[in-house]
Amino acid sequence: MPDFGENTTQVTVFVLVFGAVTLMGFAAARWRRPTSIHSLEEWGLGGRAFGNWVTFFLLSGDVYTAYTFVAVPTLVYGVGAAGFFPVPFLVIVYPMLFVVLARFWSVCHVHGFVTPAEFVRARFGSRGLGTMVAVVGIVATMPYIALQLIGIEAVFEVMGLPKGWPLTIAFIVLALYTFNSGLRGPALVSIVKDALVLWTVLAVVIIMSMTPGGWDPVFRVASEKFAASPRPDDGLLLTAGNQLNYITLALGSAVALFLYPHTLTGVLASRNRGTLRRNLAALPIYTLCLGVLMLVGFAAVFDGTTAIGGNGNTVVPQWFNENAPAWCAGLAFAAIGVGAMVPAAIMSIAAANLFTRDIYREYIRPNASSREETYVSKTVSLTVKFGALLVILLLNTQFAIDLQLIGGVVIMQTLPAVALGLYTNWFHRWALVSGITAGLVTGIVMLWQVPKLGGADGRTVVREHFGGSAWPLEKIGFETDATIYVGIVALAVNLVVVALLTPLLRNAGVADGRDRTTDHDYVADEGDPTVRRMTEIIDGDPVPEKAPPPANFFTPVGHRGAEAPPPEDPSRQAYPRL
Amino acid sequence: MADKLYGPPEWPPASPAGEPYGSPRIPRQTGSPGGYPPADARTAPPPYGTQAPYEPYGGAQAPPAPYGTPPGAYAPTSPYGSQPGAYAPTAPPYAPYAPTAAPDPYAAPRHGSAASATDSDRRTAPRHSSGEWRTVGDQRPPATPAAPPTRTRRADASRWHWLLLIPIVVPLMPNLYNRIEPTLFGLPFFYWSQLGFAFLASAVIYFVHRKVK
Repeated sequence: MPDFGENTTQVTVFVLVFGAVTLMGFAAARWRRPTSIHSLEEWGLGGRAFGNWVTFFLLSGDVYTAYTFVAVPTLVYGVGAAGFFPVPFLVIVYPMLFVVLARFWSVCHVHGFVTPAEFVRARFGSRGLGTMVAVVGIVATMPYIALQLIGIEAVFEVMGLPKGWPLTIAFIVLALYTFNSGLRGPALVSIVKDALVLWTVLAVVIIMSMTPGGWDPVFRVASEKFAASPRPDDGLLLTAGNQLNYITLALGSAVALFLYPHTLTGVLASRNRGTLRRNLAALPIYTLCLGVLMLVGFAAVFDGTTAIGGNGNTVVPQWFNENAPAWCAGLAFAAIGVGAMVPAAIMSIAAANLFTRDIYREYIRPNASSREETYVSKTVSLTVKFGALLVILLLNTQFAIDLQLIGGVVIMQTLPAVALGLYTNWFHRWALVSGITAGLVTGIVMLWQVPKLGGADGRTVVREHFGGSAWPLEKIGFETDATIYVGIVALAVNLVVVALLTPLLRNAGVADGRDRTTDHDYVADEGDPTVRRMTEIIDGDPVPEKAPPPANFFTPVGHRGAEAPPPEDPSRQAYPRL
Repeated sequence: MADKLYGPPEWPPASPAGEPYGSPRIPRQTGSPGGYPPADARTAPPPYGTQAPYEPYGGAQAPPAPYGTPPGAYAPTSPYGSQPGAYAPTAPPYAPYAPTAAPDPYAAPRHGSAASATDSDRRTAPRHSSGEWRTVGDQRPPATPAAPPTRTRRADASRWHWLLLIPIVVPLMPNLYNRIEPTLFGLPFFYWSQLGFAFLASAVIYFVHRKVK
């Protein structure tokens, strides 16, 4: 356990940056403030009008989380090439999103949807299916929030801080400014986060260029280490056994990333389809930053960094602590800390929106006003964050990691309803429900079967169940040591069930749901008369809403002298509430 | 002229002699004892050929034009000719009315027309388009009456989108890049090529964005 006294500079820099970020988070509520923040779209989607730059920062803050920055280099440190899968994953995800997201943006803006579950409910005319998607989204998001805490925890451990109160303070601060500012908070803070991450990446490049020989000796030492280890699945290159797992994991993670509610929340806050698509063209470049940070795993092998207290996630912070100047290490720690704040805030907002729009308004108070909705969402986002904190502080860290593993597989099962639903309404609603159920059962049973392997040779069974997501193919009789990502198999089962049951149910005369969307809803862009509430809030010049002049002298005008407040929620007036 | 209220002098009076001004003629079904409306409003009326004849427009006018009849062949150039309220009896014999050719504008646009026909809870079309009496739409030939329902192309579809498969498929083929040589700045090919795919994806997405926009 490192001593706090050795790290005063790092802690000072960290606290300074964190304090500045906190102030920004609270000030964000006043950042291009609209007349009324008391609507869920305002709080939960930032008024739906972020432009190119803010959307870039928000999406990058959303996708490249602190846990990625901490855990993935650790994986590279441990097994080499097989841990490099986030780079292809975060490359292939953007072309996939490019086709799908613009349609999602349009249909949500036409109908005033805040969550994917609302879209599913309207598209397939099924309340049960919508609720299922919402519950799956919440279940998958909550452990992800807890993982962000694990990222911060690793930094605190390296700085020599105790486990309990610093984490609690950090999350109370986060919870309060999210409560106060909504999506504006993380959007503004994500600018700081990206600056810090960029600085950290630059620091890695500078440090490595000052190392004699550059990357060459690093990889030579790493290859010697992997050659000496008895594990069969590590090395500088992929082995025959883990290639299939590598590509299915990349593909599955890409699919899951689109379906996570927090990604969709960030997407919906962008101003128009063009903004979204330009950002998707720019975001692969951010993957380079992640790639450079992943190479730190090899640098840690080269420099002989070891994890602190058996916590593998401390490898990257510890490497910075040993190899960078103290102030620079402090900035890197702050990058991880702030990098955990941004996605945690967006995820809690997304989970809260799911609860409010798809459970509270659907089952508890169907006629909740938008002010009440916002209040419920804020409260739920607080609850979600403190739930995650309690999981980390009271339960085992491993529990959160296991839940996240399951969550990734679980969220993928909404692919037919959400992603394919953007293109077709051919699926029968009950077939979709059965498909999700089948996929969930398959996925969880397969994850349960995967043992955790450990020991020196990587063959000893450490834990019987939920040991990873790589399912060995020899369980179904193949004479190979190849493994496959569980989520892909579960998704395939899901798709087969949906495709088989849809014609069956339709022939049996089970009624289809009514599709409330039309073809035009999926291509409507900013400026289309059906698209509402776009330009006025965040980035563009606010369009002053002038009350029409009274038709005659006796027309009641109301709010004389003051600006007329907008009607209760314009997004609900054109279409019926779903 | 006392009963002519508006319009140029060549227009006929708005109301024929003896009629109270402004009372429309309501068609009646002579066959049904209940008269108008039909007993079950949710069932569409039978097609024209199979129906007992009745006298629309109070018997004073010609029967409605069938679908598919060119307007010139049927309708007089002015409904208010020299004899208002009475059509020339030289209208050609009309073909049986085919209600299946008329698209149901209120049916939800779902995957083919078969499903909407079997859905019993679908709203029926309003009586105006049910062929029961003549409407303005009946005088107009339908746009493409014989054309089968074609698959409409999505408004945002584009062939350029296929280009996006390149940055999806290439990073998923490890046999392309699973090698050490050639190295770049000491980085094995496996690592720097996958980082390079980020530039590839960015360029392809930007190109497609420009082309589709």
